[in-house]
Amino acid sequence: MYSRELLKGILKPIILKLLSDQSRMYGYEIVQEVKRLSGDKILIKEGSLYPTLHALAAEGYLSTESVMIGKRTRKYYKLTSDGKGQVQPALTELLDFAETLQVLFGPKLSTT
Amino acid sequence: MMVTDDQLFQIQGFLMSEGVSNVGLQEDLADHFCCVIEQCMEGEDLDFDDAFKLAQQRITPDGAKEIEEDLDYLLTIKKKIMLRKVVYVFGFIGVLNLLLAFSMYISGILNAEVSGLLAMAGILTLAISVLPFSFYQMYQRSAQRVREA
Repeated sequence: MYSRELLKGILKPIILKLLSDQSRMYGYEIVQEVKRLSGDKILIKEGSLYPTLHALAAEGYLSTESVMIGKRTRKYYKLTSDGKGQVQPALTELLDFAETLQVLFGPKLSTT
Repeated sequence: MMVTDDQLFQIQGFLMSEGVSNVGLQEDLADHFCCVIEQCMEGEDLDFDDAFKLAQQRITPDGAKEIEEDLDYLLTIKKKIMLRKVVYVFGFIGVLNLLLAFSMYISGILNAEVSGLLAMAGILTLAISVLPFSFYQMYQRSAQRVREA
């Protein structure tokens, strides 16, 4: 499982990518899906997830749809057109960063 | 096994007692608690009370209020930085006006009337930007100390 510090910077790209693959998702579903896709290596903390989701919504990248389950409100998040435009740049930057890390640490790691 | 309405009220009551006042965040967290509790009741065969305690440890180990504080920080940080930029620019202009007024009057470039107007503009600029901002900061620090006491 990766540390919270490592995950902080990549939470937004993860959320944007997931929501670009699925039409809409709610918070618990996002946590479970990331856990499943990463083979339990990435466990998103709720304390990081919801502030990030709300911040993305405030920036206009996400919109919400409320569905009532009995008296309980479930909020689904989905990408806005602005949010869809953010997915590719965010992923490109992240993958470029991963390549840079590989350049920095790759040779050293392979010799150890 | 679904969380009942009474149990949902219990979860909402917990969130409010923790100080979560943002309605949207309350709804998100309440639903998240329900999902985790339901998973614990089904998967780990716990009753509601035990599942609720477990959910509190998993979802809000540092308290639910901290999530709202993180959210407030993310939502306001850009505005706070922008406000500081504006105040610092006005502060610079105010001090520059005062220095120019003083130095140009001393060196005889400006007469008393013009340098007085320039100094007044500087004082006014400081009075409407840096001064209220500084007092507001002092008030916030003071209120924080009272809350922590």
